[in-house]
Amino acid sequence: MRNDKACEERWGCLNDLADGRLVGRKRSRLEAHIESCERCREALEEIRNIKSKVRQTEAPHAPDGLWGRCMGRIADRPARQAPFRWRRKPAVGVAAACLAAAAALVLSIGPFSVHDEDEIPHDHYVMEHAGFAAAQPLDMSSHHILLSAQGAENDRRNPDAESLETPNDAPNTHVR
Amino acid sequence: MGALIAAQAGARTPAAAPPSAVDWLKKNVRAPTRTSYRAAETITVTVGGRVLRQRLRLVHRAPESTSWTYLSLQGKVERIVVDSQRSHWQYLPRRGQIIFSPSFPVDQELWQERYLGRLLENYTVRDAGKTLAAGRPARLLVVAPRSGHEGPTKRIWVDAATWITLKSILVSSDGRTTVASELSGLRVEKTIPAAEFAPPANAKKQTVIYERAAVLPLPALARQWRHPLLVPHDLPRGYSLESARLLSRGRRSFVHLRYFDGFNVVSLFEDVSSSKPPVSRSRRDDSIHGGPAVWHSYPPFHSLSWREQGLKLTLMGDLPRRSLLGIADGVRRVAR
Repeated sequence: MRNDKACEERWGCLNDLADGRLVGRKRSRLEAHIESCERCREALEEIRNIKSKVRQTEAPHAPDGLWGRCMGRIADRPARQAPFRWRRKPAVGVAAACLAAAAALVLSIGPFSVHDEDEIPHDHYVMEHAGFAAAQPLDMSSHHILLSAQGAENDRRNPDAESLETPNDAPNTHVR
Repeated sequence: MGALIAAQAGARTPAAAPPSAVDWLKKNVRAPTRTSYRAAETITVTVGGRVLRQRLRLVHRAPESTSWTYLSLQGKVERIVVDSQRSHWQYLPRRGQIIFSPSFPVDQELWQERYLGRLLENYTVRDAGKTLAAGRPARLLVVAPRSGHEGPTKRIWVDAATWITLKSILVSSDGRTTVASELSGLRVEKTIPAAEFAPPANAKKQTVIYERAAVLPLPALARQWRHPLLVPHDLPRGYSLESARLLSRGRRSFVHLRYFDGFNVVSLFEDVSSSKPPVSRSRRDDSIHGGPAVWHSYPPFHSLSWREQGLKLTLMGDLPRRSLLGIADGVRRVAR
């Protein structure tokens, strides 16, 4: 039976393997595993594809402080301007597990983190902070922040994606 | 002899003590592992008098699979998130895209072993009695900071039969923000087909892989970090270091020190970038060690950024402003 957890633990080393930075017994053990595990093989292939695509692409830069501006709008917008589209990304989250996983999404070394920037965006800190909180069974306040920050991070890294800042004609949230 | 046995058989066994508030809390944390259900959920965030609301459809299959469908005001599906504690995916119908990523399982036993004690040191858990929520008999629990402790307050309406959270309200430590969640139309089901948690087959797939950074002792972190390592010396009572990690984003490294009181998190980030804090109208200027600092609100928590010893420091957490300023003021360098 495939051991998903063991595979996920190995994924941390796949980037090093793809970059040729993994050596010795670690490398041979991982290569032996990959030969017998389709899931890890696909993951490695995906990393290699992504790296190759990223090398060919100029890194996009989203406006600095996207998250801050969005939250500023929430805090500052007069109530009469309702309905206000709060976020069209993951919006308000509810469960610790899925939200913590969302943090993983944006902290990844996968398609997103191979991208390089001169600075670490504030949103990245927000996600790091909220990720742990959201994984606590009693927490719920961090969920919507985490998912929104993830949305902002995705926007930054995927400039073609719909922006958090763009008002939407089909709001999923509103201000009363 | 026969009479003695008859007397013993007729004697009433002592009644078991009723569950305490903490027992209810433990049951509530374990509830998702034992009950499958469907419900509608509404999440409401109130920031400074403004109310923001999100509607979801929730399906949970015990012990570990949950699906959240985010709905627009018109009831249109905007996003589906599914987590099985082993895997996680999000489907974005508008983009026809599905994103797979590893799951971060919630470990109820670990929480009980590792964090419950700390929570009880810093917060009281009170049974506020029987009540109704979502049209069902419930128990109202109140988790509130102990006298002199700073942190948020949470009220949880626990379903008397299934221990599921029917409703909850969180009030930030400064009392300015509330996050509320409420179920309606709860339907407990014996079995929910696994197929309901299967990803759509025809979506564009993307897989995200991440690397967990090791938790390091502070001296080891100070050696690995090629810059001064600064740590807070004046934390509010009850908060202690939970983890210290050296992380990277692209080619940039940064330090994340995480402090925890069993319920509330405070983070300190350190990096060498020259980036400016985000620009927003929630920004206000402050001062740390006589130098400029910038304050932002990310309801229900806040951030404070300033420069010190060539580093950009960012403090985050749900604490009142004066407390975050006090922590920032007490940041000192760690010897290697």
